Amino acid sequence: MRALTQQTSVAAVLLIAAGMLSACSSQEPPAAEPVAAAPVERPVQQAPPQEVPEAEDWDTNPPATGVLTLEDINRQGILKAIYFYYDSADIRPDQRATLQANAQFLRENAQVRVLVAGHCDERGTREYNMALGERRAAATMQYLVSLGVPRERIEIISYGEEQPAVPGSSESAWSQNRRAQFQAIGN
Amino acid sequence: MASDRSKTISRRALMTGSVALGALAALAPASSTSAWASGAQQQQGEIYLELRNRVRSAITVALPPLSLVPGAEGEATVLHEVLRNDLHHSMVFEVVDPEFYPALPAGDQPPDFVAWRRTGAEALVRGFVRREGNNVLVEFRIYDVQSGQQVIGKRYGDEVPPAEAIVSNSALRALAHLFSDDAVLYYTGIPGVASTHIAYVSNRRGPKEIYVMDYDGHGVTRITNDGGLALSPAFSPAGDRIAYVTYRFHDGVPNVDIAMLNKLGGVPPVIARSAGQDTSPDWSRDGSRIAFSSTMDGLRDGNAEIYTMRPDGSDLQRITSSSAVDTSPTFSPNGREIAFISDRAGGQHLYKMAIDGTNLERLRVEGSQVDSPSWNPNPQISDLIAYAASEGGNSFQIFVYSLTTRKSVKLTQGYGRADSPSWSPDGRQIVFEASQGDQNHVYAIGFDGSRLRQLTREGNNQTPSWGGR
Repeated sequence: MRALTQQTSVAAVLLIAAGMLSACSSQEPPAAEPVAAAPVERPVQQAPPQEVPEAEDWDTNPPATGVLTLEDINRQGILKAIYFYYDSADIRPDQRATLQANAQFLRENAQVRVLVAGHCDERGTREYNMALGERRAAATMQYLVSLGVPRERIEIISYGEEQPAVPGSSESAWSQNRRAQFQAIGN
Repeated sequence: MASDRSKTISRRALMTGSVALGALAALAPASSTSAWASGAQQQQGEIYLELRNRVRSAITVALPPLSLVPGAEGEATVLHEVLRNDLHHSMVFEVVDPEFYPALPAGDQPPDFVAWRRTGAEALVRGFVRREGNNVLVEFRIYDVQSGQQVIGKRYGDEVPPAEAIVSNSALRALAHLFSDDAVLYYTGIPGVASTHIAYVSNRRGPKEIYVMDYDGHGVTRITNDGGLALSPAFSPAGDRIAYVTYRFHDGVPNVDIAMLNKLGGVPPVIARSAGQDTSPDWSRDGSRIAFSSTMDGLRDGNAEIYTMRPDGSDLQRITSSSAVDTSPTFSPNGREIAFISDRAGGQHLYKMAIDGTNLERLRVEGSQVDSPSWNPNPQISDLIAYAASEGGNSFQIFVYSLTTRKSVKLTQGYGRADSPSWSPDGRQIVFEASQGDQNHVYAIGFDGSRLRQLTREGNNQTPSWGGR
């Protein structure tokens, strides 16, 4: 796995991630994102990166190797999932902050490429959801590009309804399954 | 009705007249009885009226228990049960209620046909089974009850050396399937489908992989080991290959590609690996082309178009060119047309076009959010397209649309979501998936909505494709 050189901004984002880890179950990629995030009506609670303590805090608690691998990025959930309205591939206003944080991380870590995976809830037919998942991934990609992430560093894929983050047929499960997930990938 | 007359009429109907009718009459053999329009069929509700009105009567058949030599009771029971189900599900036969069967003579004496005529059966199936060492010897005959003539006789096991004796349950089932298919062939001119298989996706062992089962749900085998996601199997018409969608990793990154399984085993080679998503493969009936949906030319916005290629991935041709999402292609039986789903008019609708993309026509079928079309592969009833559609809200059911009458018939009822219909090779049955609660299973149903049965029980199961032998 490709290793990343340590940067101040990485440290900043990492600290956000570390602070949020208590609310998240740690899972191995490419498994589902933590399920605690983002019901439909409520904006994601996310601290803006600039409010995070500066680099000296990082220096007190460095990783043993001093580098951040792709595995680290994915395991620590640095790139957060975003969520969609039913049967829609439009970027929700309350999800923009998450995308801005993801974009900033990607801008500041030019070695990181990202796979954006679009997912759907179980309603509607399977083939329709396969297309909808791809539209969600494509819309997410375009938003990242508009925030300055080079297009060639983004791959997209759709899983349709085939890999729900949360099982079940409740509105709660559906709202967490309509999502785009981000996975750091190598060059 | 004399069997030779019945045979003549039904074969003629299947091969000539029915084409002009363009109707489901071709599906059922000719007969003088009214069994089809009576009894249980009448209880299935008005939605089947349209289909039933186009269907002629099935052949009534009596299937008494097999005559046996002591020691073969178990084999006789398996053979009888499997054959009874095969004949019933073939949509060609109507098995007469055994309550009214007269006694059969012991051994190989001729049946009392006068008594058998009173059962209303046109055909009488006699079976004989005995064990000889490790071998099992089986014989099936069909008599025309009116004339008393034997019209089919098949013996199995005579030439089988003891080491390969027919003793396993699956071998006995296969034998009953063979005879049922022979019986259907005799009465309709087209082999039955009891010996065919169905490919589908199941998560019963964890990741979604491709499985294959007998047409009746027995004999389940997992055939992929992708470890990630394997989806949307498409069985070749010859039954020797399966195209499917794989999420295989390339340099650590998954991509949505189409891979090809064959009976030789090994890692299935990828035949379509574009930068986009390559999905929903479908075979032409002659096995020479695969149609699929891909975003290879629409990477920016996820815009899918319809393409075709040879089964080895060569000779790629783009068929559609629109700013809308075009998916779910299905070949017409003659390979000259493709039906597909597009949202070019807003919402999802069913279209058909010539194989070169010309002569585009929207088919105004019943239901909304139309998806997963499957064109009937039988050239004699090629006016039928099965599909899934919403009947309102999130309830999706299976419908059949006739290009001749321009009408749809709803085949299923009460499921949360029925999806992914696929015709049997003879076009008389449909396999599909449906959800009830949090269970998703594969079911089969007759073309008229009768003879519904559940084929899978374990795990969740989806996207069946009915293939060849």
